[in-house]
Formats: sequence, C-alpha cells, structure tokens
Amino acid sequence: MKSFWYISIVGCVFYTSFVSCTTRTYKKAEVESTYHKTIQSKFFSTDSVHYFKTSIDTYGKSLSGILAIRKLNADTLKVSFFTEMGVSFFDVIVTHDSYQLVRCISQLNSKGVMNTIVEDIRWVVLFNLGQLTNPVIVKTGNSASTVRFNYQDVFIFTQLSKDNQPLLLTYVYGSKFKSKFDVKYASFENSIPNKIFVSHYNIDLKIDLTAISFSH
Amino acid sequence: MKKYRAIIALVFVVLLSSLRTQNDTYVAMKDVAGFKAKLNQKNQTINTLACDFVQEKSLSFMAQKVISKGTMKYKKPDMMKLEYTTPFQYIMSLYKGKVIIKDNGKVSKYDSKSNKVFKYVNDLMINAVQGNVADSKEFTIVFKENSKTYLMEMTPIDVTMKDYVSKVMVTVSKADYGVLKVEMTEKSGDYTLITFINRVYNTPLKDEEFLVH
Repeated sequence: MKSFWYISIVGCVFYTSFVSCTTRTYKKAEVESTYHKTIQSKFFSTDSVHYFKTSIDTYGKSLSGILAIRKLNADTLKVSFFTEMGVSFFDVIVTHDSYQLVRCISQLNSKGVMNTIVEDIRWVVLFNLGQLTNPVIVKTGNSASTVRFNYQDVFIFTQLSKDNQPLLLTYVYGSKFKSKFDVKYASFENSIPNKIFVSHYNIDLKIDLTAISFSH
Repeated sequence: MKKYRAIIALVFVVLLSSLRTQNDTYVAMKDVAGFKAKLNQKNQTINTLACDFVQEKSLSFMAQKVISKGTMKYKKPDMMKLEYTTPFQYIMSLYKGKVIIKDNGKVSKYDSKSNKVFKYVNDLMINAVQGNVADSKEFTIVFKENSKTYLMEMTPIDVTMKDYVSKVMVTVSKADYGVLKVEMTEKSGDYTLITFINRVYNTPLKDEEFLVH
C-alpha cells in the first residue's frame, strides 16, 4: 500500500513538472536577414492610463483584481494592483531596468515574485520596446514573420502582424534558447491589445488580462 | 425695478443655499448614546437588504476615479452578495463562512478565515452594511453629525490592519438610520467609497440567492 502511495505521489509530481514546466526552445531558429522596420505599439498612444481586469493563476491558487498602469513619462510607469473591492495588493514605480515598491501586501512581498510580476508588466504594455537591439528575421517554422531582438543578456522573439504589431512575444534565455515566458496578444480594439495572456514555462504561472474602461 | 429686486432676491437665495451647503460640515455628535440605541433598534428590524451600489476607487496618481457599479444583497446574519456589473462582471458572495467568487466564468470557493486581510474587509463590510459597528472593539470611533447624516470615523486598533486600512468612515442617514456610504482610506491616502442607493429593506431573499453557480 505504501508503495502505491509513493508511486502515485512521484507520478503526480513528475506529471505536474512535465506539464507545467514543458521546455520550449528557439535553438533551431535560423537567422534570415536583418530586420529594418520598427515594431508598432499603440499602448499609451491616446491615453496615459490602461486598466486591465486581471486573473493570476499559480500552483492551484487564483488571485484577481484590477491592474492600473499609468505612463508617468517616457521612462517611468506607475502600476497599482487592487482587488475588485478596492483593497490594494501593491503599488510600484517601474523603470526600464529597475523598480521601486511603494507598498505591497506581505503575501506578494518577495523579490522573486515582484521581479517576475514587474517583468511581465513591462512586456504586457510593451514598455521596453526601446531597449531592444540587433533585430533579425528568423525562420521558426511558423507562417508569421518572427523577429529576434537582443534584450539585456537575453533574447526577445516576436511574431508580428502585417502592420508590425506583436501578436506573440517570447522571452528567451541561455545558450539553449529556452523560453521563459510568452505574452500573447489575442485580440485588439482600435489596434490596442484588449485580451492578453502571459504563460510562464519555468514556473506554474498564468496571467489573463482583459482591458477595461472606466469612462464615466 | 421689480425685475432687479427679483434678480437680487434670487442671487440672495442661491448664496444662502450655497452657504448652507458649505456650512453643513460635520460636528461632534451631541447624543452618542441615543444614536447607538436608535441604530441598534434599526438593526433589530433589518432581516434583508437589497440595493444598488456605486464604488469609487481614488488613486493618488490617477486623475480620474475608478468607478464600478453593481447590486448588493444582504441577509441576516452572515450572507452578503456583491455583484459587479459595470465595467466588469464579478461576483463575490459571503455565504455562511465561505467566500464564493465568480470571475471570468470560473467559480471558486474558499474559507473566509483563510486570509486575514480579506476576512477583515469582508467582516467590516457586513457589519458596516448593518450599521453594526458603533460598539466595535476593533476600532476607536469618533462620532459626528451634520444636518442630514451621522458619521462614524473609525480608526483600526490592530497595527497590521492599519497597513491596509487607516480609516473607515460609515455614513448613516438621519431619516431612517440606514447606512448610506462606507469609505475605506488606505495609509497612502487612496480610498474606496461605496455608496448604497435604492435601498430596499426586508424584501424576501432565499438563502439560495447567495449561492453562485
């Protein structure tokens, strides 16, 4: 009986690890040519604020609330995440390569958690597009045009639409070109993404964002 | 000349009414014991409450307030359902010690005691809606009034809770001792104000109406 439980638990752990941390790599993506166009983003083009109804699912637990992102200037975002009833989870000031936590509930107040959330937010609203260098078109086997950029010491792969808007963005790291997370821009309204999914590969973390408007 | 007199009279009336509005500031409540007794008396008569609500979240770095709307149902002793309808759809129901949430079509349940902060806010909402906070041991309360309403300015005693909610203000109608507004202010100065409108007391509500499917 003991061995049955042992096999079941090990099996579950193995299955969970396999399912939640499936490795995806871009190692075989061959460089075709240099990319000369500019990636388009309509975030903050007509308004300095974006609101998202946000659901975070991680290791069987769910958290939901409203994510408010305001562009204070070209290099700074102010981000607030609070419950539907208005209780704050965190407020953070985000720059391109650092952030300052203004306040945070104890459950989320760890460097690992906030580093992950802040990096996700940067890419959700394409805040760090200007930090990308060395764009090259790569062959990936997908029909959509894929461009690879250098970003700090990692790569960003983007699948682009015909008007050069990102449809899928993948954060890729290491010599084996492993995917760390994807940001999928699933639908658009007035050329601004209004349904966005973030999926992580190394940890069990999924974030769904739906744009909402608080027009009075 | 008559025309000028009418205009002057009109201006005088407008000025007077604006002066009255400006002067309708809160002062220390004269009869706190009487207020508590009447509030308690009102609580005894409430079995259910159904109303609409408007929620304003004020963030210091946003020019506009974040406004959401919905409906609220309450049934004695421990059932409350908040259903947000605009600009997003979200249901939070407190049902006999359980919190049931429907978000994005997905229903999840958990024990209301599993998270101290949310239990605190949920309990606060239930008690505030009933007006059942005047004798709370968890707050120091300053009682105020103006011509139309009573105001309870409540400061949490628990140090941990002060990190989340620095002040709660509950506004009670002088006309019917019903709770009109609950305002929760955070340490940063950001606040959430919930205004209850179209209040209907003691309309029949079945327990099942607080379940979420």
